[in-house]
Amino acid sequence: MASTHRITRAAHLEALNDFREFIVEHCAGNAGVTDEILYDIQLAVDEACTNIIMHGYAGMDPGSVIVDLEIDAHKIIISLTDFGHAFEPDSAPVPDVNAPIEERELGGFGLFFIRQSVDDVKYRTSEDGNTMTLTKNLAQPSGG
Amino acid sequence: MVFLNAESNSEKVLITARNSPDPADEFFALELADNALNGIELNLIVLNGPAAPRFSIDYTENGQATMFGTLKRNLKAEEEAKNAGLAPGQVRAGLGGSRVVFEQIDTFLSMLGHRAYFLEPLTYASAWVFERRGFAYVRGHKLMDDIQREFQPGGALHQCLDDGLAFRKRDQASTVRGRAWAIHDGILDALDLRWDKIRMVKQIGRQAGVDTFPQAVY
Amino acid sequence: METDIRHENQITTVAVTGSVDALTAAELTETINKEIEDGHANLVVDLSGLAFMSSAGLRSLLGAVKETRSHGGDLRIVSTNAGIDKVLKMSGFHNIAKVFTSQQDAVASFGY
Repeated sequence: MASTHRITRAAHLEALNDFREFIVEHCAGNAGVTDEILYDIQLAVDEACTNIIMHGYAGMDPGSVIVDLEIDAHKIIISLTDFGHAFEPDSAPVPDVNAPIEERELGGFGLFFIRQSVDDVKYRTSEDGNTMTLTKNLAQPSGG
Repeated sequence: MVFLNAESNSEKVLITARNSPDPADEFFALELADNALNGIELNLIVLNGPAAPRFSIDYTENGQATMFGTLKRNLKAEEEAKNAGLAPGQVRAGLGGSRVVFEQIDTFLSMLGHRAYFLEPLTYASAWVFERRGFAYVRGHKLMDDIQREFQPGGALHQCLDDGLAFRKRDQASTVRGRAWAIHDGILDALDLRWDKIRMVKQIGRQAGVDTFPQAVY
Repeated sequence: METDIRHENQITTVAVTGSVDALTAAELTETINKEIEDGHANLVVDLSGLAFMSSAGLRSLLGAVKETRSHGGDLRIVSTNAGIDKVLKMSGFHNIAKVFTSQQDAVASFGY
């Protein structure tokens, strides 16, 4: 039995805390949500919302970010929708985590962290906005 | 009397209803249009109580069109309208029943295969109504948050309300209509901002749950 | 986000609490840069009180490593929180600067 929750905020950095608290409020304490999983999904949501805020609405008075959360016994699905510029996930460079400090670019980790933190990332642009869908599998009870 | 105006080769359809042959007695108007991206725009929605008194905010004393008070203003009529409880841009008191109309629009558009439609709210009051109808913002959500913050006691907009002028009364900070009149009157100049280019979106079948003015009194 | 700064011998310890995200990372950068400008280029940044850090925080720390070294100093991290640890590991931060599990160890590593 899945439970669903939704939060909508303006796309500005002050909202990041609200999005993380929304995740904690609805996921912490759920069976299968370990501390590690809880941090992973907070991180993925924070990075995705930061991208929307910094790039999605660049050059305009920001619109809304809508975060939908669906939790069942096996997985958590988070959808993040915005109505700004479409994003091209495949064109974002992958940082070189083995490069020495002199060669390190200071940016570029957001999408990389998202991919490292969740099990699946999908992105779709359509008439009703840009939606990134993240899926995180939950820990299953052992022996089950 | 109900009129449907849909010319072939036009991307718009306009539905109006009026009490009598006189166009000034129009109490319902809805215009939907295709936009450049194959989306749907709600260009106009007017829902008035047909028997309610009419305020001529739409024409100056010289008979010039004001475009709902955005191009020119009939200050005398506006003040009377404000005191009678109207929001800016309204010629008659609005009907409370807009929820039904928006449900119909959702149903109609989903039958055409659309997943969302867009509009640009004329005033702060309209934007607030659309929030309650489940709209989110394509542009202007931050502006709505800024307005909410600055109308709090101590905020930059609150400080511009000094009871000195008809549209700058102190009690306007605490109601949707009051704020809308102050914004219509140009109070956002204090923040170097304008009521401009706000754009909203309704995902068909979904409520965005936006509430930029919690526990608001209309 | 809050920072608590202590100067002891040649080492400055910056203990960070709260969250370092895209909103608050600039403040962390500013705080650290000010210490470096004031001549404190040996820094221990203690993240053990942090509830959350994103890539924005990481960017701030990478910048701080570069700044301290270009001023003849260095930067050590203290991290005891598994989530923060994971962010540091994912980005290969351990290839760039030393990470410790206690402030004492981090301070002692400067060898003063």
